[in-house]
Amino acid sequence: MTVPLLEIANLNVKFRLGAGDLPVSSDVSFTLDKGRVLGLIGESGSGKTITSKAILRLLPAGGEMSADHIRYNGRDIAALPPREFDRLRGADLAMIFQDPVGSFNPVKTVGWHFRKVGRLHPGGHGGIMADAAEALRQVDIADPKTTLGKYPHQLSGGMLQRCLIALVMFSKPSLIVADEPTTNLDNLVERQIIDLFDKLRREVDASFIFITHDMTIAEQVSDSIIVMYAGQIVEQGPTEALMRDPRHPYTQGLVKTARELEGDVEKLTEISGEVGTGAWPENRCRFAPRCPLYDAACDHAIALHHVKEHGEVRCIKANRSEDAI
Amino acid sequence: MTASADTRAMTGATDPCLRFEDVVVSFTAGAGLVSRLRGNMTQFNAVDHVDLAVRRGEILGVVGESGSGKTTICKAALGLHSMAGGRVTLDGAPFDLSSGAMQMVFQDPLSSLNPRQTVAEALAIPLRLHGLAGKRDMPAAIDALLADVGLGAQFRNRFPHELSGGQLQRAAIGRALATRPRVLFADEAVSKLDVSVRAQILNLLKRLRDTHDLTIVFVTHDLHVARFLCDRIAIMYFGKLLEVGPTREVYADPKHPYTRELLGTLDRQRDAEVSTRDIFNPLTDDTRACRYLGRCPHAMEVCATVHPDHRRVGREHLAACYLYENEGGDE
Repeated sequence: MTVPLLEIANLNVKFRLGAGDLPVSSDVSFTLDKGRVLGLIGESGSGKTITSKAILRLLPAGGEMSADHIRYNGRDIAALPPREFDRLRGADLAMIFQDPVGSFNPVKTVGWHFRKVGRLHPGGHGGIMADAAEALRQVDIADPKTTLGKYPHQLSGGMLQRCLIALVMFSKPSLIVADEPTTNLDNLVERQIIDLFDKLRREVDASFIFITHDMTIAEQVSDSIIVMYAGQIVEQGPTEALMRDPRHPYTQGLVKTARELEGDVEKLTEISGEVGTGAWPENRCRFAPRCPLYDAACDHAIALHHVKEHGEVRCIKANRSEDAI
Repeated sequence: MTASADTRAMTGATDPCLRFEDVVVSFTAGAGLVSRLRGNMTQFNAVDHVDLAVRRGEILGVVGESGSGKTTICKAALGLHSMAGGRVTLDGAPFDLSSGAMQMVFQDPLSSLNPRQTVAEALAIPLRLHGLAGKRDMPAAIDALLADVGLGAQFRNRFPHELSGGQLQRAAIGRALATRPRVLFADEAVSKLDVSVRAQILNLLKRLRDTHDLTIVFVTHDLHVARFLCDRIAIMYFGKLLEVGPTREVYADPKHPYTRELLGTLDRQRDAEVSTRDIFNPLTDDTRACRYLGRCPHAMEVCATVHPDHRRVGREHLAACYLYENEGGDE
């Protein structure tokens, strides 16, 4: 049996505030195999970005992470000393942010960024630039030489996002966390970026955690999907099964709206209310205030339970007789 | 160039409510001192001779990528950008800004509401300025507006930071409705909202169109949302209106090559193929030629000479492309 690329067990993130601790993500566990794409779905405040940042140790000040283990290629990296972890991140683990403009130094050229990333490159300056040009060609930038000499503000959002992806791929990472990489982009550029990820996955066998709030995009890019709500995983499973037969009422709502928008309806199905923020009650399902199936039986902490050939669901109403193992 | 009676009749609708006639909005690039001294200040038209008629009671989707001029044309209608040419009329008359007959809702509701005003204060200002409610009936008028957008009276004294994204956008829509507008412009009004809330606001807009006799111009780059919400779709590209027609018809049978490329992104079965062709650059490219020339697979000689005018490709369906001749061209 091969070792998964990434194994996370019971990852918790909390923020220290004056008044006490604010938990933002609770008991997140999942595995990701080599060459696979994991779609991480949720709305703002669901904990999807913070979970990924915790894995890469990029939490903002005040954020604290704990986990039973975070295994990367079978080796626990949760307790790795900072210096060793830094070497891993950047070379092996990389993150692509939503806003490409903020990821570049505005007073330096694109080429400068490649030199920075490639300072340990064996080929020296000439070698770096030749490889950088090739990396840009990989992301379909027509004139890499000129682009390397340009400053970030001289490039369009789509071009810059492609440069960023080329830059991230330059160090040949094996795990890339992409946080809403296409949300600010136009449809045609979005399509290009998605096609590009697909190409990179096939060619360099990279694994992706693709964070998005868009069910349609997640369905297109990922092999498996995790749906997060209020800091918890509420459902996870293979993309095909989860989209065909979503079990959690929240996932059902998301899939239904996505399907309706693709189809032809007069009125969209709404999930009533909005996700709350702050501390959630311990003794009630966190989705209860918005759930059409809520009753007194939901008034306790709900655990994830396994569903055969599907994955895991955090809902006591989702049990079906055929699921019994 | 002025709009001929011909093109006006074609872009027109049976009962035009809001009409854009040959509208031009131009911006200047390189207006800084150095550029001026060097003399390389360039003007370009962010909206370039656009004719468009919006029907009473319809939801018209203006779809395009960033830089297409879709937001600019709405702001020009409201006087937020000055027009370099053409005119905008509402029910046949030049639009009077002070009438409150047209209002706009923006993408980010948090930045469009004053952080130091409660929801009730924000709603009271337009009501008071337009003389729509006095001191005595103000609370009732505010409650009625809140109810229209699905907010309870408990939201009256909340500040913007106390509201969630969906509640904020409801409040912003409520404020826009205060002056009883005939036309509501919504600029990417659901793009920043969470998915589960987006459906609520889209349904709300659809309902308000019916209950408030509204005409809505909905600016978006989301092709799924546009298809759900809009009766007709106008496709813009670098300041030009390339195609306009009933939503179903445009989605089922797009005519302009750009519309085909754009709507092609919805097709999952499409082969992964990345376009690397040249995108129009308004500062360096010939602005007389068709804007889509550099990317168009059907480019012909004539396309490089002058941007095509609109051709009728269906009963209410127009496309600005030389691939088509006017159908039933007796107008």
